[in-house]
Amino acid sequence: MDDLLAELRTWLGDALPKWKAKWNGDTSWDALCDWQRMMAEGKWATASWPLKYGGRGLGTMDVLAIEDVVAASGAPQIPGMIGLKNVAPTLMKFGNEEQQKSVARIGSTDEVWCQGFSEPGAGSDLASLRTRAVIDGDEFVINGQKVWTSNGMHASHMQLLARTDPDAPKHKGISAITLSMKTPGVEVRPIKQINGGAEFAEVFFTDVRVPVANLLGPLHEGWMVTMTTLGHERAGVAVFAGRLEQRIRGLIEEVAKRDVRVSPVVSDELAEMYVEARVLGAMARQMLNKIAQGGTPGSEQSVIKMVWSELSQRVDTVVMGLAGIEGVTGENNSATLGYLSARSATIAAGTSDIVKNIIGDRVLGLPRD
Amino acid sequence: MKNATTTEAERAEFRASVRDYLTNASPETRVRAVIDSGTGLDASTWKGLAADLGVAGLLIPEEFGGQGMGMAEMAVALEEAARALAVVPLLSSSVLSTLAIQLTGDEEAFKKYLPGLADGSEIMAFAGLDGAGTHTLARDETYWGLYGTKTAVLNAGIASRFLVVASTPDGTGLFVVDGDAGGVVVNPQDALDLTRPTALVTFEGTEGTRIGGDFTDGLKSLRSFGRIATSAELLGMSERLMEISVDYAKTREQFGKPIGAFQAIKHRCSEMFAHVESMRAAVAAASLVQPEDTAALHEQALVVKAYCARFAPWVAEATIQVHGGIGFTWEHVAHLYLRRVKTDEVLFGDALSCRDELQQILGLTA
Repeated sequence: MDDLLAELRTWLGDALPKWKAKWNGDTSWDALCDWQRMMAEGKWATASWPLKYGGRGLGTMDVLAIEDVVAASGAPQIPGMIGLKNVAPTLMKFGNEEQQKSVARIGSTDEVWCQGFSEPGAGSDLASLRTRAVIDGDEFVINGQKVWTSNGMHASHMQLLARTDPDAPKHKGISAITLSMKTPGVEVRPIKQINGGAEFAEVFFTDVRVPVANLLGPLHEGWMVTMTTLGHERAGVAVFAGRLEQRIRGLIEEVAKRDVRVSPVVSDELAEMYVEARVLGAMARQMLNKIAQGGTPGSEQSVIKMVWSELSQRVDTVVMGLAGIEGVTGENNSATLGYLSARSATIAAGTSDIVKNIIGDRVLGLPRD
Repeated sequence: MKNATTTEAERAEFRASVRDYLTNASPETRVRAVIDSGTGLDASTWKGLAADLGVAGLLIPEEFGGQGMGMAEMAVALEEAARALAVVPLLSSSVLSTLAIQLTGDEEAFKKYLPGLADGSEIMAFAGLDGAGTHTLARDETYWGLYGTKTAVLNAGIASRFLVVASTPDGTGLFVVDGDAGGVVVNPQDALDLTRPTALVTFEGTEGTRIGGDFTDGLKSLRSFGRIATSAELLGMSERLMEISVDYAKTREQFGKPIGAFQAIKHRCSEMFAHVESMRAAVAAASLVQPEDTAALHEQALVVKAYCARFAPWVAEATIQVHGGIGFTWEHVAHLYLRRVKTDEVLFGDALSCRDELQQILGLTA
């Protein structure tokens, strides 16, 4: 792995200054896509993909090490993560020849993909989704609404989950369908969030017609198709945990350097968060070791997600508290935005309340309500 | 003492054999019978654990009759013994006394004392904590004379020797005192933990044998090992309490369904699970620290104890809450765990005091 990371550092040393010189501080969507294009050409953005799709065929531990080096280099965030990590592996596994042509274009950002999963009535309970796709001759006719679609405003394509058999039990009768966001009848509106940003969209479908050939995987098996590839993100939560540990160390160092001591109560709160972050980090490292040795992470993944989300939210609350009056006057905007943004930590990818249900039902085997 | 010499798989195998043994040797009925007997020792279980399974000598080098292992292996034994509420002096004799002797670096003392500890034939009690308002002194008379009162001395009633920390004219010293030496007064305390009696031990000019030189650094390391050891016990008990709670939530019915179907109970159980898994990761990380890296040892020990001392009592209290009225009865096992949990919580510092020390390490306080 050392050779690989040395190669990456050399590549970054060359590519990153080039990108910075070209865009001169611009972090617009186009600038970020250009960075992803360079990262894909170097086979770094696509390192986990098999060789035949233009990847390096690397395992989880190598990919995580690459991501750490890239993050430490100060490189910008890659914009098309959903396409790279979730959609492309699904297309490789289930896509037909036509659909698989998209894989290379996902790497280069010639196509930007979103996932049409959540609905107004189907958030944590995703399987209760109601967007319908009815087969009419050789076409699906799609009607319904999606919400909280990440990258929805920028996306050129969508991996959609729609109900194709309304009579089947709720996890059955769902199909995965690919479509262009330019298809007539598709309307995209931004969702303005409590932090002022608009990273998500609502997508409306009114008599949208796409060929039946756009079906991804078997008919009525969309749940299985989607869940199979969501597994690709499993190790990601461990990376978040490691970064949170670093963040809390950084915050404590910053507070310790101040001329004025914080109150003993705040100081204890920082120590308490430090303890929990260290324990979380230990749990995450043990999960990664298990993956490295060929094991499959089980319940620890749900625990890490739950602990991470609640602890990271707490950090932003403490930072907001440290900002004092400046947190509400707009003078410490990063504390304010961090606090507001952190509200989503315990909601996104399954609310903490639902994660507790999942642990209770699936791990502890408690009776369902 | 060494760092982990075994693999994870070997430790899992070791755990299974200790658990198997204790499931048969120390069921709840046995624990209660030993408590009622007032002897403070389940002698046959101790013999089986110490001599047959080799648990007493885990931390002792092979040349002195031990297993030559480290905290990673001892943590397994501590977890399992606490899980079974075994009435044995594992913590006081096989961890604290054993390590105190080794931390002096006094080879003569190793030869003299470790073999007896290694097979459990000798039980020693560590007397480290001065009683309220007292300070134990060692006076250099024609011999070292010890004066002072130690409190919360675990298993004092069954120990043949005491290891006593005392101030000397040239710093902190560690002394070995024979249990039947003149001027030793052992007053049993009405200890919260029924499975591990404590005593107030007073030394009135008692003769002690000093081992090693200045014990200041040794004591600091011993406190860190004590934090890791009590954390391992807290983990073992929390894991069992979670299992007991989950089993009860599956079978106890109210309002026409098992109470585990109610989210309030389900979430409480899920939080128990999260805390137990966190404790497991923390104990594993701390027990694998290289003992020679004292800075890392002290820091990791504070982290693990700050976590376990905070959340193991939470798990024990939640267990009583999940059980409702039955959890508040003497007959239910929950309080036996709660008592031992609360004792381990304060031994070598509770969560607040560990965080207090961490704040200094982190530069948050002077």
